Order: sequence, then C-alpha cells, then structure tokens
Amino acid sequence: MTAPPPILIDGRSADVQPGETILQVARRLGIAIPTLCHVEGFAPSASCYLCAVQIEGRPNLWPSCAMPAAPGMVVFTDSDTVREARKTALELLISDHAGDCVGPCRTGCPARLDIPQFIASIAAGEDGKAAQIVTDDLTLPASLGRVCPRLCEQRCRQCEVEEALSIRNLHRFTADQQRLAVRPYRPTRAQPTGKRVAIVGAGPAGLAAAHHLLLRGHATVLFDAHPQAGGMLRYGIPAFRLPRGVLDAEIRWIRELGAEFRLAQRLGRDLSLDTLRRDFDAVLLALGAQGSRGLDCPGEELALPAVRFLEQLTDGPAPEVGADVVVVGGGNTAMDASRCAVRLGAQSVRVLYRRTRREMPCLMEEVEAAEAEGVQIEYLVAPLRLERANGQLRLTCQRMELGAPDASGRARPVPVPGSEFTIPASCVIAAIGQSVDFEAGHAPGLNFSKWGIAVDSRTLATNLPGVFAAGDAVSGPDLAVRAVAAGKLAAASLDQYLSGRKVVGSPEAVNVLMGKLNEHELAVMLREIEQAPRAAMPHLPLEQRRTSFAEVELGFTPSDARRESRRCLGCGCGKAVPCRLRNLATEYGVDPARFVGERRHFTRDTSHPDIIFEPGKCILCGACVEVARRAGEDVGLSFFGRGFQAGVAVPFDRPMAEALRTSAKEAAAVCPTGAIMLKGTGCAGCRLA
Amino acid sequence: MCLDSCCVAKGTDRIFRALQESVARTGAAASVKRVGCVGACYRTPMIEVVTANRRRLAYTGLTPAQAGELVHTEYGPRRWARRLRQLWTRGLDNLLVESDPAQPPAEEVASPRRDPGVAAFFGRQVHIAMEHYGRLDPLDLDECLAHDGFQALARCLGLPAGHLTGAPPGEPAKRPVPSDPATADPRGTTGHPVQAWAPDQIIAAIEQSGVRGRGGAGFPTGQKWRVVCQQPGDTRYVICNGDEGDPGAFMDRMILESFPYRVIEGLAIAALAVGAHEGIFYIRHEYPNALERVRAALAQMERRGWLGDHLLGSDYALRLSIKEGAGAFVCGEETALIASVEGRRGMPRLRPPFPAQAGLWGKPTLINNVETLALVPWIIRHGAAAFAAIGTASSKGTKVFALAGKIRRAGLIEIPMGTTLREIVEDIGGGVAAGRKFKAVQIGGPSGGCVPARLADTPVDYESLRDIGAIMGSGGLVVLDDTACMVDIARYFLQFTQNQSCGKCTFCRVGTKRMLELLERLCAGRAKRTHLDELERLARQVTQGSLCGLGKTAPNPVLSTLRYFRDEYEAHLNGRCPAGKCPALIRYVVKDNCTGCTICAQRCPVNAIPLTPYQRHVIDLDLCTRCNTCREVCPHDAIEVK
Ligand SMILES: Cc1cc2nc3c(=O)[nH]c(=O)nc-3n(C[C@H](O)[C@H](O)[C@H](O)COP(=O)(O)OP(=O)(O)OC[C@H]3O[C@@H](n4cnc5c(N)ncnc54)[C@H](O)[C@@H]3O)c2cc1C
Ligand SMILES: Cc1cc2nc3c(=O)[nH]c(=O)nc-3n(C[C@H](O)[C@H](O)[C@H](O)COP(=O)(O)O)c2cc1C
Ligand code: SF4
Ligand code: SF4
Ligand code: SF4
Ligand code: FES
Repeated sequence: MTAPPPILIDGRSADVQPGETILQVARRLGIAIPTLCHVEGFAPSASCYLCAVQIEGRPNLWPSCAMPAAPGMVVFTDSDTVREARKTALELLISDHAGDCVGPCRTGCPARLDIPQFIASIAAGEDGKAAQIVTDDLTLPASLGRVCPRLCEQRCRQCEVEEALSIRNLHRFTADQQRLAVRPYRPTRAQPTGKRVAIVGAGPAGLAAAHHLLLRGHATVLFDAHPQAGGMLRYGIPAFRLPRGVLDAEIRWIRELGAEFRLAQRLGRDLSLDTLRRDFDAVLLALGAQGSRGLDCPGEELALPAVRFLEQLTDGPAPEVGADVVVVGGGNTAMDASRCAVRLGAQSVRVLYRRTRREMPCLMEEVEAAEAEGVQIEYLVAPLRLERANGQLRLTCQRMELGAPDASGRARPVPVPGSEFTIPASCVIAAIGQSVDFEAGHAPGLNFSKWGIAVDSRTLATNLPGVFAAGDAVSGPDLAVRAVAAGKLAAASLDQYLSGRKVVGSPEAVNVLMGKLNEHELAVMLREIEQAPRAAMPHLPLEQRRTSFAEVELGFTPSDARRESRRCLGCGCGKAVPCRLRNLATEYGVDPARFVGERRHFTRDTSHPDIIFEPGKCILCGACVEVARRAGEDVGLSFFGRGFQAGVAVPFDRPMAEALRTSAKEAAAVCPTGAIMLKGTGCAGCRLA
Repeated sequence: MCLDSCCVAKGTDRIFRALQESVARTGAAASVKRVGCVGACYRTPMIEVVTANRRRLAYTGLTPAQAGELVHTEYGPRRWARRLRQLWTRGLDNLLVESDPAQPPAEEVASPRRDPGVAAFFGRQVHIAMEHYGRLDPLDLDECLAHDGFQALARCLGLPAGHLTGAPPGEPAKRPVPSDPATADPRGTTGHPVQAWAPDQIIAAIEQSGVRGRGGAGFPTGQKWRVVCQQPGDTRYVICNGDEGDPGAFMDRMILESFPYRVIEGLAIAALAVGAHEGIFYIRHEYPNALERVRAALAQMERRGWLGDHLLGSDYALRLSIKEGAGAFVCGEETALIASVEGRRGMPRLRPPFPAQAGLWGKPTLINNVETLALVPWIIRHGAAAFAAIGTASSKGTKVFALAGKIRRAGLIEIPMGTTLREIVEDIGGGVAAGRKFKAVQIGGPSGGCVPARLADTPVDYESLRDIGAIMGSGGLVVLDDTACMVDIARYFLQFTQNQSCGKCTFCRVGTKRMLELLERLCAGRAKRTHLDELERLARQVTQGSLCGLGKTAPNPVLSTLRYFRDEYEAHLNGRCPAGKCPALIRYVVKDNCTGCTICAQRCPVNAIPLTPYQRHVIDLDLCTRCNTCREVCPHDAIEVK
C-alpha cells in the first residue's frame, strides 16, 4: 500500500492524521490562520468565518477550524479572496458591534491621551496614577491644559446629556499638581542606545519628540533660532493665557530628562542640514510656521505682523501701539493680539474679520473673553488699502457678504460694491495667518508640499533618508496638541529607523465607536454615574484682566476636579487590549465604517459579582454557552432569536449570577470580545468593579 | 371533497359539514367523502359529485348554504335542480378564487376533460407522487391498499400480496382488497411467498431510476442510500424531512395530508434498504393537519400490527415516530434538523461529516424529503426503467410544484422533468392576466432565482436551471408579470432568509442584513452606484462564507435579478422604479378622463384625495401612501402611476 498523498497548505505538505482539521495541520506547519470563534478542545462552532480557507477544486470558502483535513487536499490560507472575505467578515461584525473600543474623547485627542483612565484615577483619588498617565501620553500637559482647544471634549459622550466633561482643565489640574509636587513623577528611561538625534526647532513638536526619544534611550540635541525654547507657545501665545513659569517648568522637566538645548542657532544661517545629517544619526525638522502672511493689499508693509508683535511682547521692550488699534483677522492670533493691545493700554481695539462670527477659526470662548475685555469685533469687513498720512494710519475697507462655500467649506466672502469706508488707526496689526518660512534654499534636496515640508503621513519621513519632519513645519499653522502628537509619532518612527527596523510609524488599532446613543443606551451608561453640571473654571476678575498679563483662568481646586471627574461615563471597553476582534480588525486594515446600518443596542449587565456582560458586543461564537455547559451549570447560557436578532442570553430571563455560578471567569477568558469581561479590568471595568 | 389545509383555509370544512348535515337531513342516497388534494387550488373550494349514473361533475366556489342545496340538486327531485342552478349562477362568479376572467362564470365543471381550462391544467401533468389524486380518502387504509398501497413494500419484504388484506386484530374483517390486474406485478399476485429483495436490489432499483432528492439539492437518492448502507455499525436512522419552510411552497404538506401511507411506505422501503430500524417523521409544527394525518395513519397501521417488531407483518422491525419541527426555516437543513431532533437548537454545522456518515446521535442517518419518499413505491412497483423513461437525461421522473403568482390557474402541479417553464406558465397556468406581460418566474423559493421570460423555454431539470442561475429548489414557482419590480422581489425573498437565518455565521446573520439594507436603500431611491457595487460584492461573499445552504443560497434572488434585470437596478439608482412598485419612487396622478365620480376620494384610506364632485380629482402627494387603492377602484382607469 502506498502512503496517502499529503495535504498541501500554501504549498507546504504535511501528512494528515485521522480526525485532524485543516487548522490543526496548518498550525502544526506553523502557518498562522486567524480564528475568533474557535476554542482549543471545543467542538468547532464554525460561525465567524475568520479561519476561512480556499480548497482547490471546491467552490466557496471553508472554515478550516471545522473542515477535516483530507489527503490530497490543496489549501490556500492567504489568497486575496481569503483575505478579502476575512476583512469583510470583520467589517460586518464591527458594523453590528454595540461598544466603543476606547472612549470617543480619546479618539478625539490627537495625542491619544487615555482620558477615561486618568479621569477615573482622579475620581478614585489616585492622583499619582493620573499624573503618570497624563505625563506619559502628553508632552507639556500643563501648557496644553491651558491652550488646547479641547478637540476631545467635542466628542465627549456627556455632550449628549449635559455639557462635555472639562477634560482639558482636569489634565491641567493633574499637571499643575505635578509641577508643584515635591517629588513629581519621573518616567524611567531605557538604556542609552548611543544614537543621537538632532531636532531643529524646540517648539511643542520638537519637545515632544525629544521627550519620547529620550524615554527610548536616544540622545537628543534641540537647536532653535530663538534665544529660548518653546516655539509659538512662548513667542506667540500671550502670558495671560500661558504663564511663562508654567512653560519654563515643563521645558525644564524635559531638560532634566536629558535633552540638550543649543539656542539661538538658525538652520540655514548657523547650521546646515548636511552637517547635521553628518554629525547625527538622524534629524528631525520641527521648525514650525513662523512666517507671517501680509494683508495682501497696497500698503501692507505699514502693518505690524501679529507674530512679530507677540514676539516683541515676550522678548523685547513692549511695543508702542497707540490709542486706536486695528487688528485684521479672525483667528486665535487676532484674538491674542487684540487682547494684548488692550493690556498695553490702547483706548480702542477693533478686530476686522471678513466673514461672520460663525466662521471664525478659533474658540468662541476666546472671542467672548476678548469682547469682555473691551475688544470690538466687526464682521464682514476686508481691508482695501493702508496709507500713512500725518503720522496716522488710514485703513480703507470694504463691506462683504457671504457667497457660495469655498474649498474649506466655509462661505466665501464677496465684496459689496460701493461699500468702502476708511478708519484711522494708530497701529494696524495683521493677523491673517502664518506660513512656513523655511524653503528649499535652506535644505537642498528636501521636498515640499503645498503646506510645508513633504512627508509620508504615516511615518513623517521626508524624502531624505534619516530626515523626518513634524508639526506646523509640515502641516502649516495648526494646533499645539497636533504638534505634540506629531512629535510623538516622529519619535516612534525615528526609534524604528535608529534601531534598523522597518519604519512604520505607530499604526493605530481600529476603534469601533458607537456614535450617537439612543436614550435607552444613554440611560444604561448614566446608571453608573452621578449627574451634575459641568464644573465652571474660576476666572481672574475683569478689572485685573485689562491691565495685567496675569493668567486669566485660575484652575480647578481639588474638590472641583474630584466632582468633575465623577461625571465621566467611563466610555471604552475593558477588554479593548486583548480583544481579538479588534486585533484582527487592525491586522486586516478594516474600515469600521464600510457597512452602516442597523446595529444592536448597547446594554450592560453588571449584576454578576465577577463579570460584566455587554451582549451588543457578542459575535455569537457560542464559546460561553459551551463553557457553561461543560461546567454543568443548571441555567447556563443559550442562543435565542433568529436572523439579525439572534443573540446569547440567560434562558428564562434568569439573572446572570445564576447562569454562570462557577464558570464566569472562564467564560470571560474564552469570550473573544468584550461581551463578557472580568470586573476590575480596563477603564469601564475599573469604575464598575 | 378535499379537506387538506389549503382547501380548509378556503372553507371546505364548513361545506363538508353542511353536506353531511344535508345528506343526513334529507336522507338522500349519497355519501360525503373526504379525498386528497386535486391540485387545482385556483378553483377551491371544489366538490366532485359522482351521480347515480356514475357521471362526474365538479362544482367550485360553493358556500356552506349552497352546499346543502347541492344535495337537493343532484340527489333530490329534479325540479329543484333547475331552480337552484340558476340561483347559483348569479352568486358564484365573484366567489371563484382567482378565477379566470376570460372564462364564463360556471358553477359546474362538467368533466375535467370537457372544460378547456381544466383540461389544459391537467393535460401536461403526470402524477406519480400524487398518484390517484383527488380520489382516495387519505386515511382509509383499505382504500389505499385497494389502490396498490404498500405493495411495493410488501414486495421488498417478500410478502405475498394477499398478505395485506388482514384486518386489524379485534376488528371485523373488511371487504377484501380487489387486485388490480392493470398495475399489479405477476410476482406479487401469486399469493405465494416470494423472495424478499436484498437491500442492494432496492438500492440498485432506486439508483437505476435516476431519482434525485426533491428537497432542494437534487443529490442522487440511490447514491445517498448506498452511502448510508455501507457505513459500519448496526444502528442507523431514516428521517423523512417534512419541514418545508419556503414561503409559498406546500407540496410536502399536501403529500403528507393526502398520501400519508405512501410516504410511510417510502420511508419503510428506505429503512429496509439502508438497514435502519428506526424512522422519524420530522414535520413542521405549523402543519397540524399533516401531523394529525400522519399520526392517524401510523395509528391505523399499528392497529394492524404492521409497525414495530413486524413491519407489515414481516420479521423486519421498524419503529416510526413523529417529531414536530421547531418552526424555523433553517430546521429543514439536515444538520440543523438533526440538532433539533436531538433536542438542541436548530443550528446547522459544517458538512462533512455528512449525516449519512455521522447523523442523528452520531450514527449514519438517511434524510430524505417527503416527495422523494413518495416517489419510491411507484418506482419499485413500476420498475426503475418506467421512472427513468420520464424526464430528461440527468433529471428523471416528475416534480411537484406550487404554481402561484400572477397567473390564471394556480395550484399544485406534478409535471415530468423537462417540461419547459413556458409550458408550465402558459399551458398549465393559462398565462398571465389579459393585458399584462409575462416577465419572469421565480423558481426555487428564497434560495432560488428569477428566470426572465426570454429564457422561459428552459426545461425544468436540475442542470438547466442551475446554469441559468436558478435552482429546482423544493418546488416554489411564482410567476411574475410586468407589474413586478425585480428589486422589490429580491428584497422580499432576502427579507425572508434574513429573518430565518439561525444567526450563527457572520455573513449570513450580518451580511444578509446589510444586503437587505442596501436593497431597501435602492427601493427608497437613496442608493448610489457604490451601493450597487457593494451589494454585488457582498452577495458573492455571503455565498462563499456561509456554512449551510441557507446562507450560501440567500443571495441567489439578488444575484439572479442583478444578472437579468440590472437595468431595473440602474433605474432605481436614478430614482425610477420601472414597474411602478416602490412607493418612494412613484407618484399617483389623476388623468384628464376623471369624471369626478368621487369613488377614489371616498375610498382613500388616508384622505389624500379631496372630494370634488364632477371635477377632476387631485391627489395630495404628501399624504398619499402609494397604497394603490384609488387606482384599483377607479371605474374609468383615470389614475396612473408615474
Ligand atoms: C498667536 C498664536 C496663538 C496660538 N494659540 C494656540 C492655542 O491657543 N492653542 C493651540 O493649540 N495652538 C495655538 N497656536 C498654534 C501653536 O502654537 C502651534 O501650532 C505650535 O506651537 C506648533 O508647534 P511646532 O513645534 O510645530 O512649531 P513652533 O511652535 O512654531 O516651533 C518651531 C520652533 O522652530 C524654531 N525655528 C524655526 N525656524 C528655525 C530655523 N531655521 N532654525 C532653527 N530653529 C528654527 C522656532 O524658533 C520655534 O521655536 C497659536 C499660535 C499662535 C501664533
Ligand atoms: C435552509 C435549508 C432548508 C431546507 N429545508 C428543507 C425542507 O424544508 N424540506 C426538505 O425536504 N429539505 C430541506 N432542505 C434540504 C435538506 O437539507 C436535505 O438536503 C434534504 O432533506 C435531503 O432530502 P432529499 O435528498 O430527498 O432532497 C433544506 C436545506 C436548507 C439549506
Ligand atoms: S464621558 Fe468620559 S470617557 Fe466618555 S467621552 Fe466623556 S470624558 Fe471620555
Ligand atoms: S458572549 Fe459568548 S457567544 Fe458572545 S462572543 Fe462572547 S463567548 Fe462568544
Ligand atoms: S449559513 Fe446562516 S443559517 Fe446556515 S448555519 Fe450559517 S448562519 Fe446558520
Ligand atoms: S469559523 Fe473557524 S474560527 Fe470561526
């Protein structure tokens, strides 16, 4: 008798033992096939179809976890068809997944601060743990805690109930506590690697990169054209919003971590990219967007660029602005410049903006603060020309009206014919916008994009080997927190580059988000928390604000912070990290939004002492049903319903504690998703425990 | 008179009682007999009257009150008859079910042969599974025996034919069974013990007959029997699959209700062939009448001692039992069926192993469809060659279909394989209503496909249907005319399968749901081209990535309509429903020829038509729900759909 022909899996042959499945043979061969519903030792459920493979000569796909291996079979485990099907299966599962992997707030934060976790720590009175999370995830947390426009809060689930959590102020609270602590948290640095990175630009992007490179054991040298580090945080943002002491302390913390600063060194004047590339193992360009755009009308040279004006406030003698200040522009810079002008004693400060209040590209509270301090804002006005006559400036303007939306989606202002008028001014400040003032001349061979230095958006690598770029220098004028996030990403890529690994950046895990909840779902979430209004931020009294550069927002007291932190719903999944559905979704690059349609409701059963059951996350693998059955549970779990409504539940509406008397922990262990999780794990878990 | 479920639904039970009462009251020289299904559902309720001079008359559309009078007509004094007949003529017309408008309103169909409609309806049919349809009392065992019942089984067991005349113990002997020289095999009529058939001989006969499973997949029955027969071990099971869950299909119910003994016989022969001593009827819970008849038939046989240790009095032991189905479509899938019989939730598992290898309680199990089993006795009696002579090269014998839809004559039909779809629609079914166009047939139920009219010359056989993207399925056949929107049809069938999925497989549970949502989007005119592409891609992946037949075939209605009616999908993308069916895409408008009769205004359920006597009416499109009432009631055809 001849031996039976072997099975061929992805071109590799193996003998087949009786009773073996394709999955078992493949694993024996070291061929990885993903599985979700499969549990070693259990009868195959064959429901998820993640383990699908193609078999030559047969139509369709076959679940390898259940398919008996047969001699002579030719199996393909990784063909395009297979990968496509797996991806679709994951996308289908996710389209019906009632859960958030991580809190929506966290996905809103460009630096991915673990918001629910640090807030839970504050609520639990564990300030040290909160500090650790905030310090590790963010660079300059106290500074960002003052200037960040709070992208996270826009996504906060509490918005659907009351107002968003005051997330920024909470991390400011934690960071301030740290700054003033006797023994602040100091992360441990990895063993020195002997590699050195030159970082040009010591603004938020450069500082964040230095922070994360130092933690990984690389030496960093920060070069900056300015005499002090901090970038726009120091030379742009006024002190009443960000006291210099706060910024200084945070920069000192990075210096103490090991960063070396070489200030007043300008790339292109005092340094060349070539020398840096020769002298260092890698270079990061974090030069910001330090140039100013002019008024774009005759006489624009007579206006003072806002960036210059703000820089002088930090660095030089306070500029003379006179009694009638006109600021042209409608962004943050315009607000800052106008509020500074008020503080310098100007009698009248007017802001001219060419669109309406709705279109202003800055936080409304900045506008309100400026108005409270006496700044007048005129909308739908654009400059036509600027002249000087008898030592007075005369700005001729034109009224505008809103037309069709432009490329940015905002309504385009169009002039109203014959609406010209002229206003006198002692000083005109141009706050039209910043630009990257670093060009090819300073760095031969470097590629540029429409906005700044061209990079691979995944890794931040430029076209020059070993040269990376991050922050406003890449994106054009943007936000400090995005610069911090970019610095962090650049550090990850640089680390990969320096250690000779493939440079991939820091690929993010797929996040399922539930989107807007219906009232029942919201009620489930609200069950766990105290409802209260958002804590107000105490402000410096108005009289003092107009005359001094003292900080306006005073910060939370510990009891404010504690109370505010208890409003957090603890969004996110306690099993987000080990979750196999999420891991596979990440591996297969799924698009969580490919299928939109009806999805199950979010519900949560916390009645069991050891586990939390969230049936909306169940993928119907049946593992828990089998665990309960094997454990001899009287009640156990069972499937119910048909079609899309099918699910797993405790029969006869018995409580979960009766269903899983002895096997709850094991059920949580076999459950591939967060449908069954142990209490006391992860963010939702820790608060619900 | 037929008392099967569908006829009962049309009131035959009340008519039956009225007839009985009337016969009792008048003392007429007549008896009222329950018989099996005739198949001419379009004429239900129907009574066949056999007069004293053996003339056969069929009446349709009777009410219980009229039924009483019928007794007077046919069996009472002659002068009653004329009077009443006139009376009915007036009332009956609108009682006719789905009546043929072209045919004069007739209460009496003198003889099937003389009525052209009836002749055409039955003309092409060949009755094997439905042999003796409409003649026998389904539960009268003696009558059954008199009509060849259990002869095939007796022959397989090697019992002489005379053996079957035995009366149940303790009951007076009934009249002897007259043997019918026309059909009986000489070997069976000798009255002497004959040689029993070896399992292999039975299987060979079934194999040679070429019969294939009528449950949907069309697997060669003989081959399946042989696989079960060849398995090691002593314990095996046979199961009759009577779960029939397709919407609109009721062939198996009819066979179980009209010919319970025939199915029992078929199952017993199968048991004999594969060496099983236990058989189970798995009949869906929603078929109480079928359950009742099979139960009663088994009881009758038990009373004669023909079940249990001595099948038909032989030494072969066969226990038969009934299991009520769990009421889900997917329980008809054989592995789910087994799970359900074992007391678990009806959820399919991967095959292999096939039930023939490891089925009920892990033992080799033969599962056959009701109709498959009903064909078996005929094959044994008439020989494999006789069966194989009917049909096409690859598909032998006959197939029962539930013919329904936009057709003049609907009903249960049994046709030889190879009959073309056009013959079914036009000859048997009488075509679509006047003024309408035959557009497509949906064949095979929710797992089947839509065949366009231009392919109607396709013969009904497994391969030809498969090649054009449809399937034989279990026998649903819905005729569609030009008022059918194919996107809507696909949506309808997918909705059914989506609801019936066991929910286990990702693709079947969520994939079909997303497909359904895409179809709903199309029907609502909210779909973009990318949605259409996604629908098609997803449909293929659902087919590839489902465990059982339900999921694998659920996309068929979508794929086949996409194949033949893509232009209709495209039209929906452009916000148009060519058939004028999808409410979101159509408007109802009153034309100029409106006379202002106000009927539509009075009948509109949402008051979307202001009452304006003698003036052209106007429909308020914001209120209009597109229910079509106005168009139906307008006597002047003045309402059109745009
Ligand atoms: C007035 C104003 C108000 C703002 N308010 C806010 C706010 O409220 N919230 C917020 O999130 N963001 C705000 N921003 C934006 C924010 O400050 C920037 O997005 C952020 O600082 C960008 O960080 P960066 O590290 O990329 O660049 P920068 O902060 O611009 O730092 C770049 C550094 O590179 C140095 N450099 C430049 N060229 C050279 C060279 N050739 N050689 C050596 N060194 C060089 C510069 O001296 C500078 O220190 C504001 C910006 C301005 C101007
Ligand atoms: C979803 C699904 C439903 C089914 N329903 C039935 C049914 O109701 N009746 C039936 O006989 N077969 C049904 N089948 C087919 C059975 O699985 C099996 O193939 C059949 O009973 C075998 O008998 P046959 O070989 O005589 O056709 C179904 C299959 C699937 C996938
Ligand atoms: S409630 Fe808490 S966890 Fe949820 S989004 Fe808001 S801050 Fe984040
Ligand atoms: S809850 Fe049970 S069936 Fe659902 S995914 Fe978890 S283990 Fe599987
Ligand atoms: S294909 Fe559908 S019905 Fe069949 S096992 Fe899978 S989920 Fe259940
Ligand atoms: S189907 Fe095989 S692992 Fe889920």
